[in-house]
Amino acid sequence: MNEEGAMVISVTDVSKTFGGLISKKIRALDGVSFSLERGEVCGLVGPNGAGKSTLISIIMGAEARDQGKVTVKSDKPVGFVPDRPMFYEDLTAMENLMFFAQYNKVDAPMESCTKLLTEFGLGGRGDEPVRNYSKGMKQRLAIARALLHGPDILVMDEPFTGLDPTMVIELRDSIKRLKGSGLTILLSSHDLHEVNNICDSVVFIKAGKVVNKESVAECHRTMDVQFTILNPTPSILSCLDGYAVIDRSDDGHTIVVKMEKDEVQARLSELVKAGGLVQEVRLLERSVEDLYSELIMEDGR
Amino acid sequence: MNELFVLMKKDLRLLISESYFPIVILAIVALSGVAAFSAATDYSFFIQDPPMTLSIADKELKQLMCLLDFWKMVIPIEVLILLMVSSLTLSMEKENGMLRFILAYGKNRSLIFISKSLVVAMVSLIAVLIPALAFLLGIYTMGQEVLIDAGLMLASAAFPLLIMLSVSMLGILISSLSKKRHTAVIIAVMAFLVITGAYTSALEGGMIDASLEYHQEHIDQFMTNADARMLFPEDKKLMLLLNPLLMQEGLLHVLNLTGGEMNLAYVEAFAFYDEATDASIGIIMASSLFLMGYVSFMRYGKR
Ligand SMILES: Nc1ncnc2c1ncn2[C@@H]1O[C@H](COP(=O)(O)OP(=O)(O)O)[C@@H](O)[C@H]1O
Ligand SMILES: [Mg+2]
Repeated sequence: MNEEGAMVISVTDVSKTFGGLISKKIRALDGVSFSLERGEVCGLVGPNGAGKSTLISIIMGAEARDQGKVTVKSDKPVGFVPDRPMFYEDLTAMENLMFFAQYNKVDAPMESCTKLLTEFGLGGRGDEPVRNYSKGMKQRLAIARALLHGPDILVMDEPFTGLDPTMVIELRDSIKRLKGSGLTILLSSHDLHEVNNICDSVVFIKAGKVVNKESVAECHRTMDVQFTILNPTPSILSCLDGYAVIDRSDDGHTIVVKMEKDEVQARLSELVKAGGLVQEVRLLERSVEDLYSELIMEDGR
Repeated sequence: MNELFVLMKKDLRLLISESYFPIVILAIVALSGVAAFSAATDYSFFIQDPPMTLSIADKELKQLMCLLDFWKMVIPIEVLILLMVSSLTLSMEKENGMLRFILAYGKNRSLIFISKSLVVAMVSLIAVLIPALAFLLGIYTMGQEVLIDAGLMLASAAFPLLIMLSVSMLGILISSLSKKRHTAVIIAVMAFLVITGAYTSALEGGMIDASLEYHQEHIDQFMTNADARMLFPEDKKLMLLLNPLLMQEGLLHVLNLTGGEMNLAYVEAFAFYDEATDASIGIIMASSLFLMGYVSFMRYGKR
């Protein structure tokens, strides 16, 4: 990790409790800390109600925090895609974009708005009131609006929800393109496959606490390896000692362990040398999804 | 300045595209129409069947009195309309999340509030110009000569405008304090009931108190306006001072109906304060309500 200075978003010990007076107290965030480097694309992952939207609102300054510190280093306003479509529903898509363009003093606002509408597949429908838009169209408009003023930081709360598969692919490609331009992106998502695909790092959040922040590359570096051994005697299996056992079949023939990619070859030779009849070795690519089940689902809480 | 202009353009556009907006305008037009018809009919009957030979000055006086009645009919209902419209402004944007969304851009917060205030101030202006026009049209369509000149007509709209501005600012304050638009509208309607109820009860109650006290000492005499002003109970006076409807008495001054002795209808119009005081009360009321709304808005979403 880089020194503090390179961090464009840093969240330190942020807590937030809802309710209290009349309703039940809900601790939505409990001492959350993490930070993002410039150009980093980070996925915020966690079950429903984990506090993702609350955390994003607090980073955006749209929600007050009870304690903690949030620093966002950017000269321009942060581009923001909220978790639900928020527009002046009675105004047209173009009017909505134009307002935000002019409000943020975008050069050549008309051209920028038209260009973005076309880019997000809404060209020719800009004159319709947003009220008439489908959820997916609103979602696209929201992303267009967030990019309108050319932000350095883009924060998206579940951008893939409500999009059809084509749009998901297109959005994924747009994000990958934006990634190249140095934009720092924080996005929350339920779609672990997309997070795995797009993000450089993942922040796992559960019940208001950050469980882990891991780089996706790191997550890819280790993998689950499945050995099928016909004579699994303890002495032969001792070659795999020290590795975390992920799974083991009832008859003991099949065992899945977690190890780094470049260790697999050496372990296999050892097994054979020890007299193991290795029938099959399968490399199971680890993904954000596996990490999610380990971190979030494992302990059953 | 440019930022304010962009905000105002948006807020105006939002207001006009609002589904209730045509109803509001229609309500103001209909109300003005009915009140103008009633005032013009009153005037026509008076001219056609005069209690004495009428000089042009008498006719003008009667027309002014009809204008006063006209405003008194229009004002309370417009107070309700403006309270409702203005109470929706911020609460609506809070409810759909747009306010928080815009605040997240970290731009000048004050301008957001000022823009909303200016837009409802415009509505207030429209809400007094439509009736003023309707009155003239009413007299004219009844085949009568309009004896009130345009300047006086506009001047007569000044105090109603102060009332509308005050209640608009009250509405924005309500809006700024409510999270949901339904809450805001309910509070606005309650505010209307309190304003109108308190005005009538304080004024009539105070007059009865004053007259009772007067007649303990002066049997068989009429209480003059000066006596009433002196004997009017202080608590009720204070209640009136806090009521935007008190500014209606400014109309009496503008229309020059406080004279008393020579009054054609043999009523002595009663006013507590002189014109300048009435105007100051209105300006102070509108601006302090604006400030209260501003302060509460600036605190919105902060700890
Ligand atoms: N405005 C609010 N008032 C009360 N509780 C809230 C509010 N916003 C969120 N919460 C609660 O805080 C917790 C976290 O919510 P949220 O941040 O929306 O989770 P996520 O986006 O991860 O699904 C939930 O238990 C939710 O019910
Ligand atoms: Mg959420």
